[in-house]
Amino acid sequence: MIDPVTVEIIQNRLTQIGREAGISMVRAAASLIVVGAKDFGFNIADDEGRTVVYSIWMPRHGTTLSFMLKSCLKKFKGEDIFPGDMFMVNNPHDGALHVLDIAILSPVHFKGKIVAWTACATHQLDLRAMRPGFTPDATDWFQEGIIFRPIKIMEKGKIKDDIFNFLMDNVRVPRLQGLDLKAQIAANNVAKEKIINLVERYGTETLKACYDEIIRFSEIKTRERIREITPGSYEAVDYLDYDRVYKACCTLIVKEDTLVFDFTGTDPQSGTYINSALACTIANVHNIISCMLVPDVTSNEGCFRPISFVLPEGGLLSCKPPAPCSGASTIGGWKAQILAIKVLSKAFANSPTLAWRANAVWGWGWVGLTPAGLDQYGKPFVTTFMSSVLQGGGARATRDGFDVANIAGSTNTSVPNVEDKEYRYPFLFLNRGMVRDSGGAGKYRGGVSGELAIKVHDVGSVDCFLGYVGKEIESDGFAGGKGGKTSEVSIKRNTNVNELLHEDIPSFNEILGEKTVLPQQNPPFKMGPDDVLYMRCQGGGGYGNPAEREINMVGTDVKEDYVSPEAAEKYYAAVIKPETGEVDKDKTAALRKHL
Amino acid sequence: MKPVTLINSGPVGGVTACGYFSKLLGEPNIIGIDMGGTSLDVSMVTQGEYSATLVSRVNNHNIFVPMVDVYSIGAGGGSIAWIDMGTRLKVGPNSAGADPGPACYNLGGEEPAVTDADVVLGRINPGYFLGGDMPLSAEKAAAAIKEKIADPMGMTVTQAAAGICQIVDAKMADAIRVVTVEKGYDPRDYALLAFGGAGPVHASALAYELGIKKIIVPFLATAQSAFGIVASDIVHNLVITDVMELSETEKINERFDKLETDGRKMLEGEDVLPEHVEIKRYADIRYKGQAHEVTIPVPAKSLDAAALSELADSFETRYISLFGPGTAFKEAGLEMVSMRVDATGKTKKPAMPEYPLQGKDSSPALKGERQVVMDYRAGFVNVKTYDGAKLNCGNSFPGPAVVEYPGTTVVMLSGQKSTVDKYKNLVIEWEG
Repeated sequence: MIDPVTVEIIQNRLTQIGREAGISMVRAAASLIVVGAKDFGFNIADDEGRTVVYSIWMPRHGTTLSFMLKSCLKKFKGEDIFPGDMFMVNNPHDGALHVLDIAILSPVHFKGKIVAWTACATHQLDLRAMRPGFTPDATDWFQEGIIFRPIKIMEKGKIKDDIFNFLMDNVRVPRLQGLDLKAQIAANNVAKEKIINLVERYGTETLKACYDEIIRFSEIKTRERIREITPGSYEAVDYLDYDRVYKACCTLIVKEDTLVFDFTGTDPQSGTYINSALACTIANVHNIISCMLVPDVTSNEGCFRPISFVLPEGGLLSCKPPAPCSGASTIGGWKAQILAIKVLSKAFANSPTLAWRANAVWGWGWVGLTPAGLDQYGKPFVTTFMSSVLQGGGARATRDGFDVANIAGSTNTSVPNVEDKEYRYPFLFLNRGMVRDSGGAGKYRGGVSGELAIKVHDVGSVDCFLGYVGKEIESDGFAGGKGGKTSEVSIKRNTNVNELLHEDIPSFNEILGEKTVLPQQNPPFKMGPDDVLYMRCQGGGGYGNPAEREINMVGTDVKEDYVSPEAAEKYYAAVIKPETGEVDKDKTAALRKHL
Repeated sequence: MKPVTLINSGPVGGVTACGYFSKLLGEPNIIGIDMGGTSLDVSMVTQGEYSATLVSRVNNHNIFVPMVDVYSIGAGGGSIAWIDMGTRLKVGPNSAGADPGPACYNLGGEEPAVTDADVVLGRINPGYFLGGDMPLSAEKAAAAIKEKIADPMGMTVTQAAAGICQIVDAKMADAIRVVTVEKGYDPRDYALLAFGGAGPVHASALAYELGIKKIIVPFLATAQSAFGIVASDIVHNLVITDVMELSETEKINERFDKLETDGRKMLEGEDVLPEHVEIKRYADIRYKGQAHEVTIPVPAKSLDAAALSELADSFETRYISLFGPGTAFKEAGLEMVSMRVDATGKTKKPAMPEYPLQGKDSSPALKGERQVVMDYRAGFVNVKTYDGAKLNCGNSFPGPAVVEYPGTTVVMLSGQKSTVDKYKNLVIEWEG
């Protein structure tokens, strides 16, 4: 058996290599998805393709990279894989979250033998689909972009120009996308060199023994943790609104040191892009497992061995071709996260040592706006408003939810800054801020969501492609907490905004014009120079009875404008003095006594 | 003076000390490690220049002022060793700090820390800590390691202590790789300048991990940070940020000239004589569309089209060395984001006293011998100990050895040789 000191050293080093590779990725990439939002993952796997370092960037990419590597190893055998090769995959049925996430996988050779694999996935802006980027109105997957089963993009240390150019010739913004793709190659190069140094120092046999031990250790720790959950079966239902309302169900079966997530009862696959393929669903559940169950355990393949799935083929969360699924990463996949949060929270609430880890549902109202056209510099552009990840976090058993948090399992991501967006693209932000009263009321309040209002700037008009969810269905509260406020996208056309801008920056409400709330599945539309678009994400659910919220906490929320005086009275049974804006403690106590 | 420029000035003193020693000793590349009780600060000088970071983060605010890069990790003499799930030995991130401190401080600390391991392994002399002003308890150190680590893991106390040191050394080596390799530099091309109370104890092991050939322990080991500030030059970092094509020759020259003129004026206002002014120019270049740049040195003269095309070539060469084959992308086009001028006013440095060389014989400083674990895999060996205060310039002696100074202890491995230079710095190199 390998000595514990060496294992610890090698595990720390491998994790560090994953981090360094990601930093190189950010430094070399171009699109705000990578640079600003950090929507990417980086894995290190052993010679057999078992994940040893699970994406320390956006976690759910860790599972999908693991799926894609396994499918690469099925297609390419040892003798076809040379030192300096790299493979490209984006097929959702080979493991990608959705077609837009391209993975680059690289073997690491030492003395002619494979000793490790590195893998990097990120979201490409466009893949020559029927629409730029996402395809909110696709009816099958042939409309959603070019599919790569595992294919070589680098061979023997050289980029395959035919493949690279083929891709560049087929995408809408080749300059940014080429840099992003090459940044993925850079990340793999950087990690590869460091892993080779590690093998030179410790030898192949030691490294392999460490892989086994690192994976085994995380598995034992996870099983130990699962044993703390009271055995039983925990059920949850949730809904998803798009072209219609869909139902999704999950039952968590806890038995000894294993978990089964059974999605039987979920609606059949949709004819729209909201579907999620098998790997995407599993990745999203794994993500929640690593955040909620074992945040203190080094994530790798071992953490997920005790966990299995029942996902009947052809379902909303286990779709099969030719069903479209380019919205899976943020719609179907997020819904799988929500179900995982619900069943785990029920199970935790029923288990003494884990009760503090229970969560209300996090905002899941993805607002996907992709504008495209000619930018202020006269060049074609495609961008997504990653600003729409301004969801409120679900309240926790002991604390409020995070304000403007992003979805539960997209940790380590961030919202690109407004100035970057305005500098690169023909838009002006009128505002971006937090939404009062959007967090679900509770003893612990759900996190508030974010909103923004934009107008086209410096160009005549742009094409907009929009799909969003969570407009009719809220994020649920837990243990008596209320749901968070729903999402919304609306537009005011032919307004006086440009006139008002001579004076000051107006808010969406101050602008004259008729407001139209747009439907979730919206046909493509144009935004002209006098139009203003408003987007709001979903607030997080509250935890526990709001009337039990500490009076001082309600007072602070009102003072800092997270909660209005009216909502304080209506939900929290707290009376606010109109003259000072402070909580009237006597009247509040009297009011609460009646409840 | 802008108050913002004072942020982080404490640790930065250590960096300027690196710069000072770089010039004094003619070592172009130096990695400085400042290891105290709770943290390890790593800084770097490459080709005689500080590595600067353009954006730093303080209390969740981004600060867009060039600052000397100091990377800090939570590994120090006080880092606590513990066992995860009964089988995995871990060190940190919790620290015993200075109070109660490691168990050997005898101030009530019960958790075994890195300093306890150093005491158990015989590397730190419990009777000569802080020059003997603070006696340490070797018994407490051994008892804490035995109870919390060795017994539960079925190891001997020595094995457990060696494990703790090995893990913390590797962690520190990882941190050093972050500041070097990540910027495209190879630690093997550097000398290691070790200061702070615990730095010299671990410097040899760290150097071994990183493949560093030379270690310098400055004579003023523990007062390094304060010394560094006194030794600083006056540096003004001037910058114009305005995205430009590399073909805009006239505009580029005009701006560099303006920055240089401004810099010279500022130094003049600070009474720096023109002959003490040094000007360096840099350009931050990137592929169009990227958000991060690579900084490339620019000759301090008027640039023509050929010079700018050379600049583009050096960008690409540097880019491939950073990111590997297949990553350059000419088709994307280049842009220059910022132009920078560093205007330096050379100040008079405190003269480092030079001492006459007194021959190789180090025996007058020999204190005695004691049992120390040098190679983690071997056990205790008999090792010579020297009194650092009694060493004279020119003295030279081989490892394994332990050199005790009032403020720190230097551990030398076998295969290493120490020489005391004319400034009384201890210079350790691997023989052969």
